[in-house]
Amino acid sequence: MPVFSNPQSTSHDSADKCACVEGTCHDPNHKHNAEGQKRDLIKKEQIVPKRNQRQSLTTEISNVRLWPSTTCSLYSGSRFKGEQRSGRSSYEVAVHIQHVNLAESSLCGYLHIKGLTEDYPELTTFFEAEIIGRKHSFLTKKWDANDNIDIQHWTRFPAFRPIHKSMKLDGFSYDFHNKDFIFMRWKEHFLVPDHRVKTINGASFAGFYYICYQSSTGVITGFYYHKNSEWFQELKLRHCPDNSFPSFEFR
Amino acid sequence: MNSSKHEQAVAELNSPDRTTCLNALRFIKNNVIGNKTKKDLYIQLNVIPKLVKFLGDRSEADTQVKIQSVIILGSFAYGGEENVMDLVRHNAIRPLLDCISLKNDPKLIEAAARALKAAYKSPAADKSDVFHDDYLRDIIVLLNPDSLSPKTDREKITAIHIAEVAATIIARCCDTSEQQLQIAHAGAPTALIKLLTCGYAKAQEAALDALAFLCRENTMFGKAIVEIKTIEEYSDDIKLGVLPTLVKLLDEKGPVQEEAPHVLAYLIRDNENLQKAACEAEAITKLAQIITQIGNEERLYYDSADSDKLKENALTALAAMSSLTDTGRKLVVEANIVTQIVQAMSHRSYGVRAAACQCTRSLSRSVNILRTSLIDAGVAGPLFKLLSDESTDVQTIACATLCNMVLEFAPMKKTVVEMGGIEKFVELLRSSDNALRLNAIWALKNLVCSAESDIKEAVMKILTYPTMASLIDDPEIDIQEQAITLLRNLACKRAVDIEEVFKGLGENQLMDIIENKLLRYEAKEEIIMQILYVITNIASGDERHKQSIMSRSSILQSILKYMGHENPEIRVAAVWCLNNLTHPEDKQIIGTQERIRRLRQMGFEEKIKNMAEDGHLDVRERVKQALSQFSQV
Repeated sequence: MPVFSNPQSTSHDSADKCACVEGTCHDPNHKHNAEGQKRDLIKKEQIVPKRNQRQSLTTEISNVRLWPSTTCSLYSGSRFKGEQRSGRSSYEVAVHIQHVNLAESSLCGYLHIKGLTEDYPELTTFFEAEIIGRKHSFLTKKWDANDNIDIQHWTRFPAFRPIHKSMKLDGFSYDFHNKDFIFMRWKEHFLVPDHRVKTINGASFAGFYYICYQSSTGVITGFYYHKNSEWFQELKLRHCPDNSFPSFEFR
Repeated sequence: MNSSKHEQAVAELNSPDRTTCLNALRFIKNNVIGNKTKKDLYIQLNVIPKLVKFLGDRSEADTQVKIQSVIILGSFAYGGEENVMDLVRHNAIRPLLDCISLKNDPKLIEAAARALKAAYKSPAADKSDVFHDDYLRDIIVLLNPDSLSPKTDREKITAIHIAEVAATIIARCCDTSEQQLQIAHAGAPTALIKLLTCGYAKAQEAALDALAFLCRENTMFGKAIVEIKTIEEYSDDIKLGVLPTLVKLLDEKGPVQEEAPHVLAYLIRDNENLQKAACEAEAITKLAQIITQIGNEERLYYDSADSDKLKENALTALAAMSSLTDTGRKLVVEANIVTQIVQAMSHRSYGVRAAACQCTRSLSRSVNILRTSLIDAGVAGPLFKLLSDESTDVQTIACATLCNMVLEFAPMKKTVVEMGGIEKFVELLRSSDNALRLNAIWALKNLVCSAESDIKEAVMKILTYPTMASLIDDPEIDIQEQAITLLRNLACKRAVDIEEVFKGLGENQLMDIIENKLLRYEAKEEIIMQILYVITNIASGDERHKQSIMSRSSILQSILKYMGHENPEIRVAAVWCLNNLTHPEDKQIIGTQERIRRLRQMGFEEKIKNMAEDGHLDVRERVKQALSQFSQV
């Protein structure tokens, strides 16, 4: 049965029981009304502060804690360094992961790229990742991709090839938990620090990356896709090891 | 003019002849139903005591007489407050309650329940009668339509209608928390939740309404309702079934529309799937419309206090819907109401301020939204003001929300610090309200996470190390956990930062804290985890920092023990401690070699070897590193 936080008012007049319900007396002429008022006072002084301690819908909608989640080098604050190759040129790239939420199959972070345009010697974008698993399929179904384009990109990752066969099976979904390889799509959304800048001369982040991360090596490989950009621009990043770990948690 | 006819009917009620009497009753009934003047007329003719007498007369076996009498009494009750007072004055309530017993004819039960429903609408009716004898039990039995064993369709409809009316009676008898308690103890919640599945919209709505009234101002109890064991197995299905109906109720007007978002918020909180289902039912669009509409009315009329509760409930529902998933948050942003939510944080009603703040809090759990919609809406200033709100509830939620806005990626962090955020959080730590204190220490912990040394220094100058030490031993375990995580974040990344903590607490006190927390046998896993990372971070420092850990063999023993903990995250944390103590660095080569020998003696290497096949990938990866470091010496 339900357990209540508000304790029943304590009454010492058990010898003198009347017909009032649970000691609540609504009749102002009744002798117990005064006692009822006294109890109300006790309630105000003792019970109300206790009520303030409990979590109500007003102060706490949900009791779910938003624990930070991590797996190997994918954790809030983790950094990766490497480059993106486009034709014969290559650009220095650093990725700084801001938040990982494995329960939601998502993570997000900043992608810094150097030397892409003259106006911006270093560009930083904010990206969000969909981790392929029960929640997100290998098939993108958006962002100008189609199943064929998806397969062309995923099969560039050797780790994907064994999965490719089972992908056609009904009810297939990849469980990324406890796996050495984690596949993702990274989609850049806006510039950092000023998210209102929409266009940059000579650069675009309209497409997205197909990503494969390997836990045991800490290496991230990716291919950029945008229908109007050069295909299969390759991203290669290595984890920068940490040995101390701060922690935050959304409230 | 023809009042004589009515007087005659009243007189005929005294007739010993059953048919005369019944005909008079039918005549009166046909006159009073829907006719306010006739109701008043008959009340003046003093018909109530006669009707009540028919009910009370135990020898009166004639059900038809009783049914007609009850219908007339019910009709009076529907006539308004004064009529109800007349019924109360003539002690009509108890006899009506006698009629709802299951042993009676369903028609009589139905009529009596309807009459009671109308009577209890009025504050004049004393609800304490319900809590006498077996009346409450009788009402709860009626919540189950099967208890009347209906056979024909007509009987089934009657039974469902009775259940609906019984649910409404319950809803109207929840004035005090004592009444809520008694109703709950009598088993109403289980019966009401079953009624939610009956498939008849009106009865379902009545059941929801009753549940809402049972939960009102009593959320612990509401929580208890949802946690009732028997319901638990089906609860999500039941809730999923109810959700579309509930979302439709948002289109209603009046009290139903007002209550629906509250019940909605209540049902879907803590459950991602239900939040998604509510999103799919387009609840967010509807709630956004409600809020926009009220916003427009507020601009037009100065006083629209009537809509405050609706606005509050709608905002609470939005907050619940976007509390756990990015999908929900993005839908709120797409509904274009972030500006209005931020404006509502300065509303005159504290409930609206609290709910709007709760909404902002849900949205602020997304880095994306923090960096776009929330910064654009200028959320920092209005939110910061709420830290000094006259309502502790509002202060508490504002502080919780600011926890998310002092993180490194939050563009408003700088503004919050410049407005005096650190001072304010430290001040709130002195509050007598534990929820507020928890949020304040949480904010400070988040604020120093990955922060530069000067921010850490600024925090500790105001908070002070002795205060932090006492929070680490706070009676509230959740506050302890946050204070320890603050310590973890302070002693992080740079040797100078670790050195600050050593100076601030003193090496001995720091080591005592670690030692004591690890030795607590009953310690919470979260606390163990945070302490293990305090050690990890200290052991990432220079030689002296590593040595101070090595100097306490009981700490080392605890690390060894937690390497075998059932929680893989604790095993990972424990192996991290070891890895930092054995990490080979040029400057510390001799010290490292000595540490490795000592730890090997204590059995760490053997333990690590046994962990090479750990079932958890993260543990195995850390163990690999440890093994390779041991093999160097």
